[in-house]
Amino acid sequence: MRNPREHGQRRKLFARGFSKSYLREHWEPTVRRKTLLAVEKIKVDAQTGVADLLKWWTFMATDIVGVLGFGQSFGMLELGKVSRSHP
Amino acid sequence: MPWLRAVGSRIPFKPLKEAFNSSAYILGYGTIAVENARKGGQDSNLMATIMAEAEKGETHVDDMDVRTESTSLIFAGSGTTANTMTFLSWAVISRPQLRAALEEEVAKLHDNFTDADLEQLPLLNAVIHETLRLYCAVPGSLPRVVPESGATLNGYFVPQGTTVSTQAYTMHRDENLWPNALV
Repeated sequence: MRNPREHGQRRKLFARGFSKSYLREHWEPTVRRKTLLAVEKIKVDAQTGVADLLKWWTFMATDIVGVLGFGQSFGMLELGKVSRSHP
Repeated sequence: MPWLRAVGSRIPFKPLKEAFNSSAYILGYGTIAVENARKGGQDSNLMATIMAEAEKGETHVDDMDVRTESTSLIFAGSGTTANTMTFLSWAVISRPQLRAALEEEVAKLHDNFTDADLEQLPLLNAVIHETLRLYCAVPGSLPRVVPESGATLNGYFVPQGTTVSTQAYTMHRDENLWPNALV
């Protein structure tokens, strides 16, 4: 999309959903829950051996974007592995 | 390159097949986003919010738009965050002094801290900004087109319609902008 008018219209549609106040009001608890879960998982792994940070942060980010973008988590944090299914 | 896709998606090797078909797979998730948005109302996911905004105004958004936008979201919102978080964790852990100072700063937070509280922490925010500067998740070129009548940049004339781009990797390491850029 390179037409400035079209882009402006599309941009406007995103404005409310991506504003800081909207994100905090509607999604902060979700993000917080997923982040805490990721930290828990990292802690368990680190205490029993080695924690793969990239793996857990990827699961965290993917699950969060799943909820925010699709309305469903991929459940990777809970599973501890890559998930193709959805609940 | 459509031909590469056409050939690539037919090679009988599972990981390759998955890579070539991944956009179709994620597009399938976009369809779920549309369904969930219809079911759950305007605050059920970000796509629903966008669809609700579209209904208020004259801008039309069809299901395909929602699917492609939600597909962009997952590409843009997963690997970038994970990558940045990993570099940030490593950068802090490998600097014991910084780690201690950061721990001291966050220890002052009360139990029910919010995102707004975190925004007020100078060291935490400096760490985030420096991580984004040095280990930027998308350091590549972001192409733009020179507008009508062209532009003169740094003494060079660039005619209109030319595709130009800057890229973050070297700019974020420019000693004129960042003294001790690599620290």
